[in-house]
Amino acid sequence: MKRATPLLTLAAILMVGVVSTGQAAESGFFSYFSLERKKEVMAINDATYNKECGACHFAYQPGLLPEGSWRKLMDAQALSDHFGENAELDEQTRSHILTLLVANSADKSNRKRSKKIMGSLNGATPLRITEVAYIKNRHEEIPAKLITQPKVKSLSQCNKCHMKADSGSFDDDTVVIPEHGTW
Amino acid sequence: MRYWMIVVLSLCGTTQAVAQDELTTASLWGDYSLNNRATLYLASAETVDTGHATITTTKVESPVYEERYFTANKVHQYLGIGSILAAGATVLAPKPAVDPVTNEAESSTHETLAKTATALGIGAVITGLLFHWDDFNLSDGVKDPDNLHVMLTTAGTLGYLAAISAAPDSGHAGLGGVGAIAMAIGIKMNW
Ligand code: HEC
Ligand code: HEC
Repeated sequence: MKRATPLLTLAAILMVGVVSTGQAAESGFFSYFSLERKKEVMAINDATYNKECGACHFAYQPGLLPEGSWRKLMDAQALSDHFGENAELDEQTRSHILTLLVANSADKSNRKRSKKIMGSLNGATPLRITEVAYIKNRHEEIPAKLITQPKVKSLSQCNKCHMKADSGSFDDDTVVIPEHGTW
Repeated sequence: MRYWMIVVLSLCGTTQAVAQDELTTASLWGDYSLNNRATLYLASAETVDTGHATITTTKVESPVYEERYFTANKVHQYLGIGSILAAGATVLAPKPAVDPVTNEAESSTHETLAKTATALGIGAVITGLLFHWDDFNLSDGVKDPDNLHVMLTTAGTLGYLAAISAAPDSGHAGLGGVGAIAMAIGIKMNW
């Protein structure tokens, strides 16, 4: 049994090494040891984005969709008929927002939720977050009338139920559905 | 007057005032416990011309949400972190003397802490299975962060169990150590 200890220690060190190199990719090896929480989607504080894309609905974090989806959504032509609305932008604003979305899209993120989203997409690039299998499955059990009620309207209105959506957090602990309460 | 009442109540944080766009009365809705403590919606007055009379309505501005610290997910989280802390303390606690003849260790803080770490780990595994059953599915593959979390933290708890049953033989520290590291990485994965 004496000889087992160094072996096990070695195994442990290897394990730390393997897993942490995978995790640390986003911002260097030592950042792995920081206590910063990496579970939720990365929050975005871009005034232009919040103003232009938060006018009609919640300003979705880039980490909720892969680059391919954002490119399709942000196409100049597509914006002029954005889910039946005109969301056209001047070229400078459009390219600023596209750059921001692409740089922080789910496929590049190290955050757990973004990884879960990517894992459930199998290469698809949907136009809606609510069409991502992971997101769809998470909401399967919610009665339709709680979603379509006037205070929510649709599943696209994340922040009507997710009280911490602005900070990127979608934890089911922080859900308060209008006329229903905590989940 | 009603408006001021809402503002005062909101500021006191004693109840929920949810103001609606089209209603002339702001409904004070919701069971306090159901909608959880302090989900306050700050109200602002707005004048609307209805064609009959000018009435003051209130409008939702921003919900102020207060985080809850005792929820299913949090209990699971506290148990997991607790088990890591107890494992760390186990390493630091002085080791008991072992009777060379019977190979029995005296009862010690070291042992109590090790058992605490294991109990907390088991608690975390059980609450994880109960509260996060929907979050993991082996068909998502081993790269799925939740699957990795389940495997590493379960392995961690098994490491603790193995260490307790092997103690006081040498080598038990290695088992416990690997367990603690697996547990730490597993938690980090979902942090
Ligand atoms: C003029 C109003 C308007 C603006 C401005 C707008 N959107 Fe939308 N958006 C909508 C509507 C309406 C929907 C469909 C919502 C629904 O189905 O309930 C939508 C849906 C979406 C969805 C899909 C949500 C889902 O169901 O998963 C995404 C993603 C999206 N918008 C991104 C953006 C981005 C990025 C911008 C900024 C460039 C933007 N929107 C600006 C009106 C707008
Ligand atoms: C009608 C209210 C409602 C709306 C709108 C809504 N959600 Fe949710 N969401 C919930 C509830 C309730 C749960 C917990 C479901 C469960 O555990 O069964 C949840 C769970 C989730 C989860 C999993 C959380 C966890 O802890 O595992 C994610 C991620 C999520 N929602 C993202 C979103 C996004 C992104 C949007 C907007 C595109 C959205 N939700 C809109 C109510 C809502």
